[in-house]
Amino acid sequence: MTSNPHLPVRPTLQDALDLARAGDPRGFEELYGQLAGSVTRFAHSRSAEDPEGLTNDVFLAAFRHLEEFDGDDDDLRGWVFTIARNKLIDDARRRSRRPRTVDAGVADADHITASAESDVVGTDWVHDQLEILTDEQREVVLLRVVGGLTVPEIADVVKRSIGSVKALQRRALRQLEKNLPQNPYPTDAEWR
Amino acid sequence: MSEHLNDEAVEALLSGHERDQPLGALLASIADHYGAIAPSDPRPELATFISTGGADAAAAVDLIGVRRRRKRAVAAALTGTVVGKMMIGVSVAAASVVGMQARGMVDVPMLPDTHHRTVVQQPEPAESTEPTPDRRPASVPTPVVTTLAVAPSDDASSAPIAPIVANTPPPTPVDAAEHHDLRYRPQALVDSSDESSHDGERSDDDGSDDDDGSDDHDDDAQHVAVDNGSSPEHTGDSDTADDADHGSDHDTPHPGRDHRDDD
Repeated sequence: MTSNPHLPVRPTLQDALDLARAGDPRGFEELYGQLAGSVTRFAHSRSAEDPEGLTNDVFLAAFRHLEEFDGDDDDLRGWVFTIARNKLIDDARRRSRRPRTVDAGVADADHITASAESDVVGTDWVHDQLEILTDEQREVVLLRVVGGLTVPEIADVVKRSIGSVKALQRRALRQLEKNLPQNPYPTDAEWR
Repeated sequence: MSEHLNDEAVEALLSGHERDQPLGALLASIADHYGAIAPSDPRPELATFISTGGADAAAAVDLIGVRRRRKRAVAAALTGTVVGKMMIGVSVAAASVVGMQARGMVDVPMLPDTHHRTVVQQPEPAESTEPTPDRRPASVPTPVVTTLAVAPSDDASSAPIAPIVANTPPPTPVDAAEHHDLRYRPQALVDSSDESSHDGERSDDDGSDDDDGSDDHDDDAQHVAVDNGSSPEHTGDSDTADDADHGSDHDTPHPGRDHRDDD
């Protein structure tokens, strides 16, 4: 619980990890601040039902089992994304077993703001671009582009070899190159 | 078109350094789209955990305890299942062995045996079986052979349980040897049937016919030899003339010993 007076203003990920292991609330806060954004974005990109809630569950599980983690800051990102990936798989299975329902409030177009409509259109556009990829290719590309992980970290998350991850990346880019969109990403001005 | 996508080119595209290329622009658009999503604030449970610095570790410890208990329960269930299956397998195997033992397919020395006694009922020859003038019997009745399952008991006179085979031709020793019927004991049949023949032959032996039936004589000689051999007193004292006089009186002490004792 004692704070280090020599600690820099913005601790690195390794410092935050050391603080969290010591039980310092600043360590947990820093870990969440540095990693939660990429986890939430990755959850969005994987079409999670509640990306923010899933991110909350990921960090709650990670913090509770932090004593079992014995790696450094390089391994921490892969470990957190592994937890996120497992929770995304559970979320997808749970949704597949549940009958689909349409919320009347959301379906009503009058209640959708312009920015929300822009987000929906942009998300649909991105989904359309990635639709041609296989699930493994899509996951690897999103972990790289959205999650910001390196190839070894991705290999650790998806339980594949580095060569296999590189091959998946190469095939995904070739597939995307073959199907380059005629229309670029829609901007807000174009949408309006 | 895609021959230029080597490892370096792929790394440059995915790192966002090639935004001027169409494929790089597409990947950058995807990254920008999701990069605009702001991280959310932690929810109450996580916020409490962060603010207390993991002070609710008791809950985490309790969670670990629950997992350990669950693992123990799974291990116990697995062990019970394996042990139960092994017991069932051993029981089935034991029942099979006992069944085969009862059927006579195997012979396990440790298991109690169910005896099969073969009884040959030789019917009395009818009057019509008197030798005809050409010294041939008119008809020879077929002997009835009955195999009886006898419960294991020390009493030889125990009652049979149930007949198994009836009216089958009597097995010969050759057949028994071929079929490895270990329970077939032709010697018992021979003994039971030969007793009368021995008696008859003895009566014949008492007569003047000493040349035939040499085997029977050997049997009698063996019986005599066994009887004499079983008594050691006869072996050492049979060469004296006094023994001939006192041969039938086995209970009397040896006179020689008395003399030696007296000396």
